[in-house]
Amino acid sequence: MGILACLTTGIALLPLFYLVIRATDYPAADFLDVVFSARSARLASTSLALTAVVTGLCLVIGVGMAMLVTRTAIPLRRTLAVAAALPLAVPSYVAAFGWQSMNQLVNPGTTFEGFLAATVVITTVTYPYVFLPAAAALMRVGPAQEEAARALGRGPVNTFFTVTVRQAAPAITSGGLLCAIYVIADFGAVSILRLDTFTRAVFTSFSMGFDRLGGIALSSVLLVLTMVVLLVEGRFRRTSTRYAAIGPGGSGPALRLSIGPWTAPALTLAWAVVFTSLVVPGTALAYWAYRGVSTPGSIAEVAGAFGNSLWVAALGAGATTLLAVPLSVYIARRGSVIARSLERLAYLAHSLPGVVIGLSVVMLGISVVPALYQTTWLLVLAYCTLMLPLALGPAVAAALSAPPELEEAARALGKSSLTAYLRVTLPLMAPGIGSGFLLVMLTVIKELPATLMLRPTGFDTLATRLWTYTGNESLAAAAPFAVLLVLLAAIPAWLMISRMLKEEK
Amino acid sequence: MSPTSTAGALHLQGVSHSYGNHQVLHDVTLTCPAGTSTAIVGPSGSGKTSLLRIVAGFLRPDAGTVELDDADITARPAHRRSIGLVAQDGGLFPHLSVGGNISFGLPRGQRTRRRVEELLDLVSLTPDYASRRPDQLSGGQQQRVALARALGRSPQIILLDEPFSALDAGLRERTRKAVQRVLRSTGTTALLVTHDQDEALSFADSVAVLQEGSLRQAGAPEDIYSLPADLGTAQFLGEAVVLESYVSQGSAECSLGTVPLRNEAPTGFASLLLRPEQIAVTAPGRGVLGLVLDADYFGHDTTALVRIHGREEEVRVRQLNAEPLGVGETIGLQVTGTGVAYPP
Repeated sequence: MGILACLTTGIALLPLFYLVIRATDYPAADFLDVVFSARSARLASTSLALTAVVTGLCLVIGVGMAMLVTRTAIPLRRTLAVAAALPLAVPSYVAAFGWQSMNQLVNPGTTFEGFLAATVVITTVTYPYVFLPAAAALMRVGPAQEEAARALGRGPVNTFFTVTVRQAAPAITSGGLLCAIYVIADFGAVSILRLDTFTRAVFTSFSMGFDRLGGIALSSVLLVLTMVVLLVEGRFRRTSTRYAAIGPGGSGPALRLSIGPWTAPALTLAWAVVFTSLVVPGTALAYWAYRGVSTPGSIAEVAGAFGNSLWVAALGAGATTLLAVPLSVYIARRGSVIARSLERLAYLAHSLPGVVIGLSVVMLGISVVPALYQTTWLLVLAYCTLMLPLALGPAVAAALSAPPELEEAARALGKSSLTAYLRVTLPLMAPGIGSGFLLVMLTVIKELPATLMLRPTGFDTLATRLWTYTGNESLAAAAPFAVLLVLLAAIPAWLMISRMLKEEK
Repeated sequence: MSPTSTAGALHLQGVSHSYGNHQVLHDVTLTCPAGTSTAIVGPSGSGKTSLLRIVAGFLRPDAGTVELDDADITARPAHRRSIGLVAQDGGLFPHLSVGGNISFGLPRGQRTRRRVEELLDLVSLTPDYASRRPDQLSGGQQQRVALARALGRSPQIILLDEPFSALDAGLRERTRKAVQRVLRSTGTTALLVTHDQDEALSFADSVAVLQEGSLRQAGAPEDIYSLPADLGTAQFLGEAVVLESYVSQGSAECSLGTVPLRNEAPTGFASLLLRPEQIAVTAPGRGVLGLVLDADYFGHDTTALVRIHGREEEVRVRQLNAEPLGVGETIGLQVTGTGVAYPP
């Protein structure tokens, strides 16, 4: 089983390793020339500035919202909680498109692009990554610890800041770093809004004459940047999990602060954020989509792209799940060093920029397996790399819920180990595997950069069609694709939100 | 130098509380003299945790008063009461070290290494524990840190909410002894809430039995155990043998013979309470004949369910250090000591 697990991890991470191998093709001096060029410096400062500003804004908005929703007695708390989490369902490039098309309605003839535009658009879709973990962590701080602090002579406000918020801090930090990773990796929004960042430069190096050295060098920088942030994020997430291990204990309601005269301004601000994130792009999408579907032939075109999206998403999700299941059983059953290292390795690819993996798979296709280049199989390989961590989480949880004792019981009843696995463990894991499959599928449908780089010529999905039409500034033609993408992405987002609401009860 | 507290006499007068339509406490009046420990014992849902939360100040009673050293503190918020609280799972702050947890409640001037080490020493933990994280401690150690943290402020009264229930049997016993020793040495008034009658009887100077929100009985553990106010209390406090009997002139006639009574009861029919360890097993021919229906062997003691010869009544007997009885065996039964009679 260990060999199988190593093999599946190896397949999934192949593109990542390949990129590193190819990077060594070039003399270090040439490589460093690109990394430390004036252009790189410009890209780096834009990317980092965007990341810093968006992450900062997300922290302020996310934490503020989370406090309002979990620890005050404002009216319509739960409604606000759901509405504030909903932007999770909007892919960044769809939001960018929504804002651009709204700009066309309000100020026709002007452009909506650049740093400020990207900041606004990306912030509105990324802040839920802070809001959700912050709200969950604030809810988790049980009354027992707050009561202990009160019994130790601290007043309610003091308790809130020295006990409650302090414990949510690692979860909030981890959420902020996740935001940073998403901003660094984002390709769709920055390219629609024409902001030159690392990801856009990597894509350009691919599409304009294929400057390999440039692409590889910039990808390496992007990779290192992402991994550093990921490592730091992992530390904070583990701290947060450790805090949760000391049970909340006790009974009684959580402490709620009464914010009195601040209620009205806080509510206004919170709903303004929700309005900006949802209503602005939503209205524009609805308007243009109505105009779009009224053109002849458009419905057939949308349906075709939808079919293609479902097809590659199902393939990608199927392959990823196939790789994830043996790996998850191995990780769940063996506490060995190898199992733990494999788990770590698999999560390495978590939220890596799609452009980097896309580029690597393109090179792999051209140089190693030209027969597969421009087929869906390479696209599926890229999806496996990008989505493995996503499928692995639910699968490991499922494998943990199917204890080996049950398989042993089946063995004791005279079944072979394969029969025991197929008839006991696999059925028990089925719901977890299924939800992982669905999650990967819906995420693949949203994926843009790797799909753009690897799709067979003439093969269009919802995401690539939207991107092409946006490039041509055909707003009406693009809008129906955007609407469909939002609706599909809303499913996993809704699952996440409803889990949060259940936790609150 | 250990923290010593001043006074700390608690008095509850007519405390009642409801959640919606469900009344959880009915007119509870209870006094805990300064420096003593009191255990509130009751089955789950009896209202004991609500009572503790009322004393702590987390719950405002619908009626009645809470007095600490003759001052009415019913309306005083929790953080202005001089209380210490040890919750079921310790309630340690996971984001602070052990030392950070202990100094959290100390007055500013006292937040020193020395003071923390003193408090750790009080609960028999070495100074190097100060730098550990709560999740690196065992359950018993967490409870001891929680106790040190609560004692740091020299509270007038310390509240213990099922503090041992999350621990396994051996550790529970040791932690209980350790806590008891600390509380005695500091002279702190303590109020313990538990559903475990053995714990209540062995831990506290006095025991209060709470059932369905009402205080059934309060007093010294030995008095409560030997003279329960009613059969329900008797059955809650330990295994009970209840036999039909006829009372006259200070003794009761029952299927096991004549048993002297330790309570006053009017002449007439009554339920007679005995404990299984009061029924001695003898050779057949002495005492009353009985047939062993079922036997359990626990090592240190054995119990058996015995049908009294010629009667419908079955009794449970407990013997220390005895050979296990065989099912179907005929034995003799003799009552030792006295019983308690409850008129219908």
